[in-house]
Amino acid sequence: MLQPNDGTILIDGKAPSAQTKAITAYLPDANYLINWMTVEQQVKYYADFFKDFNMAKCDELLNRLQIYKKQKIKSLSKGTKEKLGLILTMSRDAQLYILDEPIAGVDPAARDFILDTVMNNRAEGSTIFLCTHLIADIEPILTHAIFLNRGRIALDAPVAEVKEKEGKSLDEVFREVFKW
Amino acid sequence: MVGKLIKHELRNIFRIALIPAIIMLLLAILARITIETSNPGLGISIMMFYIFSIMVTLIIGYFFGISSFYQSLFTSTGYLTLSLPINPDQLIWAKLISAITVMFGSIILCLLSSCIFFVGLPQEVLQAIGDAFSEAGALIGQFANAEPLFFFELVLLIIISVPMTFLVFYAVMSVGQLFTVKNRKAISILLYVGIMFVWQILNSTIIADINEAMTRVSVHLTMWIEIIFNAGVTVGCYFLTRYIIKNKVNLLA
Repeated sequence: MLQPNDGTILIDGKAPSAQTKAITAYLPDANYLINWMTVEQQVKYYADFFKDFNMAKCDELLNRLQIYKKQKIKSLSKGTKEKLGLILTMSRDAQLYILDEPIAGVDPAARDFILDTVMNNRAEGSTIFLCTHLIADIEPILTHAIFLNRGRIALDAPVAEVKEKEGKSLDEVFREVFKW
Repeated sequence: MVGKLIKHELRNIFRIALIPAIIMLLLAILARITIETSNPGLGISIMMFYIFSIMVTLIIGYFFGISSFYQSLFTSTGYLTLSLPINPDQLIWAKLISAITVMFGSIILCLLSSCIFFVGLPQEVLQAIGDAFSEAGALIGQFANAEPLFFFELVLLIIISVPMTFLVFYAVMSVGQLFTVKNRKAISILLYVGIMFVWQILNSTIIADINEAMTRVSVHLTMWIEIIFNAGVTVGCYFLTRYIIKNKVNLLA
């Protein structure tokens, strides 16, 4: 988590603040959960601070993945912790979801589950801002793509427009732009 | 929000800080029992452990009040803490209030544990102890009546110094995390040691001379300079910490 050197970021027309954090659900690419807590305590922690936290949705997702609430977070495997992080993030009825590499380092079956969870549990009318290198997996659910190359924007366009203009898939365009 | 933060913070600190406190209370009970046995050596050994446990309780309570700030803000848990719908002021106040609460809580528990030794004592001994405390209270009252301004200055200095001890650590840790190296905690410790070293040198030379000169004019002048200086350090550390949390957090994944 770094601070910008230059430029501005606006979320719902406002600079980042406690108000924008209340409508933004963020899933970092790091193990950020509180290790000494149980799953139940971590869920209650989220529910305590985020008014848009949907407990019923969270319970359903935990049951589906057979993550037991009494388990200590430190006893969970790396993959299960990542899934718990995703569940906590997607259990919020946020207006903006920021997901940093949600499918990196997981097997293809888990990737499908993660993408399915992301698409089926987002709040209606919300925006998902997803950062990834696995374009082929994400492409079916993307509406807009931004490529960053050495700190510069190499592409910023709707996915349909890129496919129509280039006559290629987004993954193929990505490989061309980032060719070594 | 500050209330919720304090609730979770106290839960986080007490889950560790209560362990030595419970051991201390158990040792106090054990020491009280063994004092009246025919084995004085055992009683003395347990008493020594009890005294050691008092120090451990106080140190751990103080330490966790400081380390919890670093853990929840500048490690990977910082991703969670800093994405909560709270502003830096709420964060700092919650951490500070929790740390001070735990510190005083530890002191109160230590005092309560010492009261265990009064259990079962003869009435005349308890009376004598009560009289001694009453006399001490009366002396403080007499001092406050005789030197009300100095008493007020002393109390004010203590009130300002308590948060200052935590805020200096918060500021040093905040500055330490600006460095993009692996062991930023070590940098924070080095920074703190460095600042304390310079402060001690200044204190024993220039500041000591200034204080002596001021005291010749008025002891109240010395007190107010100390109060204003400590207040300045407190406020400065608060705003430095706030600025860094708001603008310069540098979490390494």
